[in-house]
Amino acid sequence: MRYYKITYVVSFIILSYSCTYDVAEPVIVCKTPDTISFGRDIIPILNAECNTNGCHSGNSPSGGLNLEQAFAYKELMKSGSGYIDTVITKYSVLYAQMNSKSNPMPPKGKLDACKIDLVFKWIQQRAKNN
Amino acid sequence: MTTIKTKSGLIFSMMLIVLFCMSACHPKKNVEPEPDGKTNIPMGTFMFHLHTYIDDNEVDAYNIVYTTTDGRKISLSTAQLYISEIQLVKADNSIVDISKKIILKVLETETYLAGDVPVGNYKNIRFKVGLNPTTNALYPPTRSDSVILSKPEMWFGATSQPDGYVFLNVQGKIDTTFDASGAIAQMQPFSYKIGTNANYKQVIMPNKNFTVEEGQVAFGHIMIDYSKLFNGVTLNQSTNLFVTTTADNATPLAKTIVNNIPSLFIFE
Repeated sequence: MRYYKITYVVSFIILSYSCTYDVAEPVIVCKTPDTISFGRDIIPILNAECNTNGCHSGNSPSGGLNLEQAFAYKELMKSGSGYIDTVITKYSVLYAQMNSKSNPMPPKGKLDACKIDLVFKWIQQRAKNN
Repeated sequence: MTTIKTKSGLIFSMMLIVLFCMSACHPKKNVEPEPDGKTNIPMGTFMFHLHTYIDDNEVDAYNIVYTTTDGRKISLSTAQLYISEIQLVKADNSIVDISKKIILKVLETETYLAGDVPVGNYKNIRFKVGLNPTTNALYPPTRSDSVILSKPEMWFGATSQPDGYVFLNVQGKIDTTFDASGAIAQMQPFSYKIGTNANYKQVIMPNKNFTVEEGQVAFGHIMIDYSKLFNGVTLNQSTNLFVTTTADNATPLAKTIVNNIPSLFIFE
């Protein structure tokens, strides 16, 4: 009987150390529309997160990139700039910086996944000025 | 009889424990060697985002006159350079080589794929401006990536040999007055074609932490400020405005310009 007790105590200790549990990623369900609109879906993100004072706005926008509503599309689509890559979406500077772990844009921290998803899908859909 | 039962029960219990413990073990992810002997390490992508600048001004196009904070007017008609021997330094000081990659940075393009690199935390970017001596001795058609080597403006002669490639080709006009007070009409042409093996120049960026995540792209955002090429150059001597041959590249003027190259590169 004494062996059983010892066995169970040892078992309990071993199991306690050997078990790990996976932290489940929270499942985020984004209500992303089928067709992303630059005006309806992307501009509000730029207005709220990017073109605030001192950042991508004004006469000396950060990184030379003005994301104010009147300029954003033209600036993002400037030939050779790389901000938008409709061939390999993840090569787009706009998306890569929003999705960056170490140097996210905006610098205050990564946007929520649904906003980043909107940007990704807009680029995937050929980044239209719609 | 009781002792045998007790021992059997004990052995059975121990076997159950062993089986249970084994089932709890997870294999380590992505460390199995592949058939070709490589280790299947999770990878991400590193790219450059390279901007062309004249001091504080981003250069949007050729032949636009920009003014530096010192008041000196400069315009560019050509501004391109080769980047090679790219290395990324990880936070643990190990070095990831992307040395086979050669980039020809031109004004019109800002993003350049460097290559796939292991995921992790990095702290430094290093590269050289120019081409290594082996590549510098080749004719363009002998390499599979000859597209970027087949640029006549990046050769000293009618082809890349025997003089090799131009590593950095910067041309335009500049105000050469001592006090930077010249008018646009007075600006003088300049042409700096830097090359030769002796002028293959190492650039070590300041430390800046960045992370490469699996399947994602990390960008190195760097400004190339061509106005810094003129540091230490006496501009009001017309002979100081031209370095165009391999012989010119052996002069003290060329050495001054070459030594300015690392300062061109500034993190955005």
